[in-house]
This record gives sequence, structure tokens and C-alpha cells, in this order.
Amino acid sequence: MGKQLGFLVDSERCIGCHSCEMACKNYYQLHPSLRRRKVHPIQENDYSMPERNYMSLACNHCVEPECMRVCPVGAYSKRDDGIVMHDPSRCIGCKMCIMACPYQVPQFDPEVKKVDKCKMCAQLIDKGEKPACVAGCPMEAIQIIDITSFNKYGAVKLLPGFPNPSITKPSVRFIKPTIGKQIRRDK
Amino acid sequence: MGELPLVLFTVLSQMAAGAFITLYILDVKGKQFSLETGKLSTIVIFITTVVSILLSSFHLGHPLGATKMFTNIGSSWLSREAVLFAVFLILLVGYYTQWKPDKASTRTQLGGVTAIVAFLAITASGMIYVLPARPAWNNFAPVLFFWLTAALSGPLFIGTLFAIKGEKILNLLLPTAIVIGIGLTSFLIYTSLLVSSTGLVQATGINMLNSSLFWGKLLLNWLVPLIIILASVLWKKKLDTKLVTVVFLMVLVGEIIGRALFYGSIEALKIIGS
Repeated sequence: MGKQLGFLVDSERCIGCHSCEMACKNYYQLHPSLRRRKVHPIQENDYSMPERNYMSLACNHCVEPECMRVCPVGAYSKRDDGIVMHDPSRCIGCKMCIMACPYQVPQFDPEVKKVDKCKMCAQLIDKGEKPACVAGCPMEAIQIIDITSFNKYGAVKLLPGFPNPSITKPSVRFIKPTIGKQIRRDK
Repeated sequence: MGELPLVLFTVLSQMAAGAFITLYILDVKGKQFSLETGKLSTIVIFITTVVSILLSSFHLGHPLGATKMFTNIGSSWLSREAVLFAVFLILLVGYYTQWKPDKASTRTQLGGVTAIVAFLAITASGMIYVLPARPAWNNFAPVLFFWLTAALSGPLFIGTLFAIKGEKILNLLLPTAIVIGIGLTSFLIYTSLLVSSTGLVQATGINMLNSSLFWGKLLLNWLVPLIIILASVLWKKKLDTKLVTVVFLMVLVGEIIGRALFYGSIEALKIIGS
């Protein structure tokens, strides 16, 4: 396998401020109903101690993308660096990719009547710059990594609530939140 | 309802494909009907397929770009379905021209190819929904239920057409009863398996049971037509034009309700957050 870029999401650092979502929306001036990146709260009872944690997710640029397999018009393609691209000029808005993505990443843009999704700001990466969400995170909780060579101790392939990664092999890795630091006042 | 174009497209296109296979079998088996009825049936099947495809375009954001759908047959079942239905329509035109007294042999050969394409088109339609992201569909069920739609509504469609045209009434009692039996049994087994499962699969099953569409499908698609057929057998009464038409319309509405249930009850994988 060649290069495969992906996101490293540090849920220990993430404070759920949604800056990554807004940075992306602002950069691309997206339709109000669209969010290419979403901050999902992790359920409080998913860990042994009640915690308020988040996972910030965009397109996972899967190794085996279902969106690309099912698209009837070939609007999806995978670059040599593993980024899954979507070509709006080919898209006819059939919503097949929306149906097939296990992470509900592709979204229908009601204005242009086509699908929209994160392209990892490929044009910025090509210039050696950071994607909007990475640059916009005040906690530096999101990074771009090459998962073929990435081997950080403690990084995992899924967090509670994240669908089974065996379906499409998503190119996302997580740093799990540290549990047990939060102290709650008894009633 | 957001999926109405897909509901109507899948049901009508499968009915048309099933009707063609029925027409072909009747022709090959040497059933007596006029060339005019054969021609008319082919035209009606063609028009039904075209109407279904036009209805499906309402689902698209850009219907005029639909021709691009032929470009990814390597991996996309939706693309394969589009190609197969296009080929089906082209073959239907050719088949229509063969309704002449001296063309029986070529009609049989072309009809055979068209029937295979019709069957493959229904199968491709079913395969579109075999998706890991929709666990309750990620099995043989969509293909089986789409085949059953064609096998139940197709012959009744042709039976009704023949009856209206004044042809000898086709004896559809036994085949219809058998298909209803298979449909009802497999649907109840499928629903039971969903409900007795866990997670999203179980949630889909519960959605189905909680929907009034489930009971509407049971009644209109299977139970009432089956009662009519059993009553006809018991009273040794053959299906007349009126009764065939009533059963056909009932089954058609039942299929539409059932397909709305299919799309409306499915639970998809998603990120689970609080």
C-alpha cells in the first residue's frame, strides 16, 4: 500500500468547541445545512467514569471507500496520497453515496442539488499548508498523518460510538481521552 | 415522502420486467393469444418501464445527467441497473417488431435474451441495496423481495391485460397462490429474524412491526388476494376480468405500500453520540 493520508483526532485534547466545524464552513462558505466536519459527543456512560468527551469527524478517506464503489457516475476518485475526492461536475445527486457511507459523511446540498463532502483540503495540502479544520483547532487536536507509517503508542482505530471500521477501513486514528480526572460534585 | 420516486420506480419496473417474462413464457409455451395482444402487451410493458424510469428521475438532483449513470458498471450496481434497463428497453423495441406470423422463431430467440436481461435488471435493482451500512439489507433479502414483486405483479399485469383484451382468461390461480405463499413465508421469516436480532437490525424489524404499512402490505399484497383465490378454488369459480383486475390492483397497491415500508423502516449505521 502506498501513502494513505488520514486524520489523527486527539479526543484528550478536544474540548468540543466546534471551531474545526466552523473553520471548514467558513473557508468553503458551505450551505447552512452542511457540515463537512462534525463534533460528536461521546456518550457519558461509554467509559468507566462519567466524562464529557468528543470526537471530531469529517470524511475518513477510507482505504476501501463505499461511496466510490456505489457511485454510478464515477464522481469519486482516490488520489495517490489516499484522499477520496468528489467531483461535483460529475455528481447527479442520486444520493447513493449517502446511503452507502457507514459514517454518513456525504451530504446533499439542497442549493446545488449535489452531494458535498470533505476533500481534506487537498488543494492546501498540495501547497504544503494545513487543512482548514486542522489550522482552525485551538487545541491542536486534529493532525494529518500517513496511516501507513503512523505508529503512535496509544492511538486506536475507533472510539465508542464509531461504526465498525472493518467495512471500509477508515483512515482515521484516535487518541483516547484519559478517564478519571473529572470530579463531580455530589447532590 | 422523500423516497416516493424510488418506490414507484422499483415496483413498476419490476412489474414490467415480470410481465415481460410472463409474456415470453406464454408465447414459448404456445398459449393461444392474438398477435395484436402480444404487440399491445409489449407496448404496455415498454411504456410502464419508461414511466418508471421517468419517475425515478425525480429522485435525482440533476435528472438530465442521468445518462452518466452508464459509466461505472465496474463496481456500481446502480450503474449496472441503469445499463440493464436501457438494454431491456432497446430489446423490447426489437421484440415488438417480431409480432408477425412468420417471426415466431426470431421472436422466441429475442424474447429469451430480453427475459434474461429483465431478470438481471431486477437482480441488479436488488443488489443496489445490499449495503454494509444498512445491516438489515446487507443480505439476500432485497434481491429476493424484488424477484417476488416481479413474480407476483408481473403475471397479474399480463393476466389483466389479456382479460381486458378479451383473450382466454389465464389460469393464474395456482401460480399466484404459490408466489403469495413464498412471499408471505419469506417476509414473515425475514421480519422474525430482524426482530430477534440485535442493534440496528432489530431496530429495523421493530420499525417494520410498528408501521401501519406492514399490516397494509400483509393484507393487500398477500392475505386478501389469497382469500379471493382460495374462495375461487373452493367455489370452482374461474377468475373473470373483474376479479383478475381487482386482485392485480390490490397486489400493486400492496407492493407500493411494501416498498414504502422497505425504504421507511431501514436503520443505517451512524456515529452514536449523546
